[in-house]
Amino acid sequence: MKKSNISKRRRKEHLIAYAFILPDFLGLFIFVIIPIIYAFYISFFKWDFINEKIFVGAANYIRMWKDMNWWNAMLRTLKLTVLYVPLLFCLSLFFAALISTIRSKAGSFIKTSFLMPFAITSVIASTLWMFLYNEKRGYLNAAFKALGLSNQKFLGSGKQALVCIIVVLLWINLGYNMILFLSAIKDIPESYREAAILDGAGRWQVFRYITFPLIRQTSIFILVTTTIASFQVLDLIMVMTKGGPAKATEVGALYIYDRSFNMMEMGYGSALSVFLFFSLLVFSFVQMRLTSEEQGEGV
Amino acid sequence: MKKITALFMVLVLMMALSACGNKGTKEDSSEQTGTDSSDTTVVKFWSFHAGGEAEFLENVVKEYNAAHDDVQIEHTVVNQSDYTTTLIPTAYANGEAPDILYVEPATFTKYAEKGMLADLSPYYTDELKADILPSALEAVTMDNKIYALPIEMETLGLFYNVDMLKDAGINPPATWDELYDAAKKLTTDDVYGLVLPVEETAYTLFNWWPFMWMAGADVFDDDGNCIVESKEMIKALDYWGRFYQEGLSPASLQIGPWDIGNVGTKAAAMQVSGTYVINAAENDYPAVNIGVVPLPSPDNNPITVAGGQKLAINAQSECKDEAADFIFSLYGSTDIKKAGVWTTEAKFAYPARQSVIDSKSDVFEKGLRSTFTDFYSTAVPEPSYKAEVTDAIGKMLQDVMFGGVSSEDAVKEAQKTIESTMNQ
Repeated sequence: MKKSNISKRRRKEHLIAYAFILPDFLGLFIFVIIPIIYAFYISFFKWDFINEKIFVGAANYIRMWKDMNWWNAMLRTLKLTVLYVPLLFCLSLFFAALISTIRSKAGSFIKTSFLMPFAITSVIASTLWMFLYNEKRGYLNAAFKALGLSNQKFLGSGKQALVCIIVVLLWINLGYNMILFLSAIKDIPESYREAAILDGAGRWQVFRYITFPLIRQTSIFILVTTTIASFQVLDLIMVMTKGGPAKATEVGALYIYDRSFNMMEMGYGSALSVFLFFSLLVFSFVQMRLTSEEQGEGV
Repeated sequence: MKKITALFMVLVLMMALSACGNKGTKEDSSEQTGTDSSDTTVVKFWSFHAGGEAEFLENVVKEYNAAHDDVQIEHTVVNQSDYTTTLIPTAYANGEAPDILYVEPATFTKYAEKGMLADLSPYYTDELKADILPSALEAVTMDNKIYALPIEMETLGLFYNVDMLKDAGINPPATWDELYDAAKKLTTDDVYGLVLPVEETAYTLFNWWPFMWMAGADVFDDDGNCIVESKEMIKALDYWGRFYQEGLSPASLQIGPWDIGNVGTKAAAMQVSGTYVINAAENDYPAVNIGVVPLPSPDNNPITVAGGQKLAINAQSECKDEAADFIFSLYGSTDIKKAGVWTTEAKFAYPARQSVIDSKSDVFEKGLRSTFTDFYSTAVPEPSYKAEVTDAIGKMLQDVMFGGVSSEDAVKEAQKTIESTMNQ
């Protein structure tokens, strides 16, 4: 009697748990999984939104292979990722380590200040930074002038534009990632650090041998998510440069947008998205594999 | 992934917007009008206007709905930059596109070629056809079918800050050399000599066309052959590119290149912009002395471009007659009052109909408008090319403006790209 009561209750608990997950899962299914499958399907068609879809087999993928504009855009995406991800990682870790040593109330004030840009809509953040970057009347050039440096074009320069966008990305995302690191650091029992210090470890050694290895999970998470995010940067660029000057900031996501909507080539746009999706999948998989292997050795 | 998700959300949102035509009209319309109207047809109309223009549209829709029991216009205002990029194509894909939509030269050919627009020829009376300026009618005609109703003509001129030029001892430029010299003299550490558009957009091309034509160049000849690779095109590109290469024109802009705020806030001494900023120049910057002259030309023989929105009807629409009745009663009827209000009060533009121009002649002589009216006859309609052609010309400009590519190489590449798309 009693036994069956328990299992009944358990079953009920399970049911309730699933019921709680269901809305989330439904959302994921409708808004993420189905669109991905549909994009994959569309990528084998020539489709302009209006007329009948024409099955073209792998033609879109063959076209992608030969499309130099696409590979140039992907190269720019890669450049952005290679610059942005390590910078974000190191800076947020550095500030997290620094702030974790602050014991006073100032710590939470600094934390909040760092997090504030994350709460700002990306479009507003872009507009804000355009004021700073403005060539003739921007604050940055005013500061440069005070230092005796010449006016810079920033977003108007083919060489500087991508870096300018990376700076805004850093500004927006630094606080959030720093908080993630910070909470991971806070989870490390104080006794580990104390023991190390007793054994004569310096600050750097504590960080290198205690803190850093123990926040590995968070590090992996941040690396993977920021890499993915860096492949998808679109809104900032749409507002600040529209891919210019002379395509200097036309990244993969923007090229997909342009082909899909401006040129109304949804089939081709989908093929490019599918390629981007799978390259990210492989990228993330390799990243996770590499880092988990390290963990295996360590244990 | 995020992008695809966003697109999907847009699609779902569109489904949520109530359906057009006669499907389920009973519930829709009774909800809307509160009257018993089982046969009411709901006509969907999407616009993207703001300010006085939005007010005008709101009023005419209200008035039309009050006067009609059997037809109700459902007016939705959306964001202009999404309008032609994502909203219209995705709505078509869904079968949820509006019955009445706006097209402009940048989208007209693309949409008409794909069969998105209904043939409006049956709704045009001979009288109306004769009244609409021939070039405006030609711009919406394809294979002898008229696919849109022109409602306005917007032309470009050179706006300038009168005091800044006077202080520098410069007369308003009339020739290309004078424009270049003026821009050079007026450019300082915190002022641009001349604001021209920057980004790779249809608006940049709209500004580029008259400069290209004034140099004697064109994209196609009368037989449809691509003639981008020419001495004249190189001359135009060299001239246009110089402003950016030498820092006389911005490489990045805080506010839109069309916004008269560039001259209004004295961030720039001169600016190419259109009839559409006259109201703003008068109302928003009353303290700034703003003047306008025709676009300078190489030989004092100016040409300007005429663009502007046109109204079209969705080819998939189930209520084309009703939709046509609404737009033709507004802009195509013998009662020209509303067509006149649109171009002289709601905004400033030239009407596409001679009778409306004649009836409002006094307005066209007011202030800055009179200059535009003086050179109105030099306006050439904004061309509407296939998306691939527009893309190639846009890239050619960017390459010369910012990419360090010579005009000679840029025209060669554009010629090659356009020829290969024409052969497909």
